[in-house]
Amino acid sequence: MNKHSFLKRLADQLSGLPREEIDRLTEYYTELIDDKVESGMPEAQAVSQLGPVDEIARGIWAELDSGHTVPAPPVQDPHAGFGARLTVAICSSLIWFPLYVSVWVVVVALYASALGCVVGGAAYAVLSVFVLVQSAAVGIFQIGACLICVAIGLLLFVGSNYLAMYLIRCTKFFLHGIRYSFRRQEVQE
Amino acid sequence: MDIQLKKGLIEVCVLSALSRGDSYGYKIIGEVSNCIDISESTLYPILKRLEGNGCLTYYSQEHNGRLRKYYSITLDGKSKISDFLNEWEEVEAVYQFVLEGEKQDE
Repeated sequence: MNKHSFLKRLADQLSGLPREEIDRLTEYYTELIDDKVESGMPEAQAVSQLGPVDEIARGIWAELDSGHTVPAPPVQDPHAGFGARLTVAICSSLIWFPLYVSVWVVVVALYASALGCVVGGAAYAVLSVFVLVQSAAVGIFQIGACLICVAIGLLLFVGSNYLAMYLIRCTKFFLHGIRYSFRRQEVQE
Repeated sequence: MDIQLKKGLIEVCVLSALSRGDSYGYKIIGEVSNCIDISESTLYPILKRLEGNGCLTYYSQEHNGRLRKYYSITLDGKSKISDFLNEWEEVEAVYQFVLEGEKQDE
């Protein structure tokens, strides 16, 4: 294994540590390998002398578990700023709630338009058969226009579906956020 | 050897190596391994702990087109060596006590 692969594997196995700590460990091992190479040792041998990467990473994690090397991250108060967040949410609801309802109204309107285009187009196409008997050119033109109308209706339906799905996902995400805030409040009580 | 005891001894050895002059990881391992078994992965947490305790500081200096980290012993580090030397008499007394107990047991 060469130096680059060794350092990459080590960094991978240490993912989860603070970035600063990973950089520091990587610098430490880079320097050791460079010094060994400088003293005349082949790079592969310098790397193999350090031992298996898994073992090194295990040792580092074990050292961290024993609480000697890196102090535990400061415990943050999970309820800090809850009141402020709630106030902001309620005040901002004056803006986002009407917006949210308007977007749903647009979606419903699109569905209604799609339905109108499809049903209207299909019905008029059937009626155009009678026109076809009287005048072939006018009849064909009418049936063509009706089919275009049906196609537009189907496209609108597909577009509305995409928009509705996206809105549902956003709503779920939003509700999850509210539930999370309430859980934090329960813990506090 | 007990792991904690060994860690403590390596700490003092590292400080002693630094009391001879500023040094870097590879050189420290070379010097300390003359008296106690030490690996690269053992040295890192010890250096970090000693730095955290204020026993050493470090600085980076260019060497052959790259940066190398040099460690320096502080006054606290020197004081830790003195403490170790002072405590050793007590450790020797304990050792003699345990040894005599073993002899009587035989």
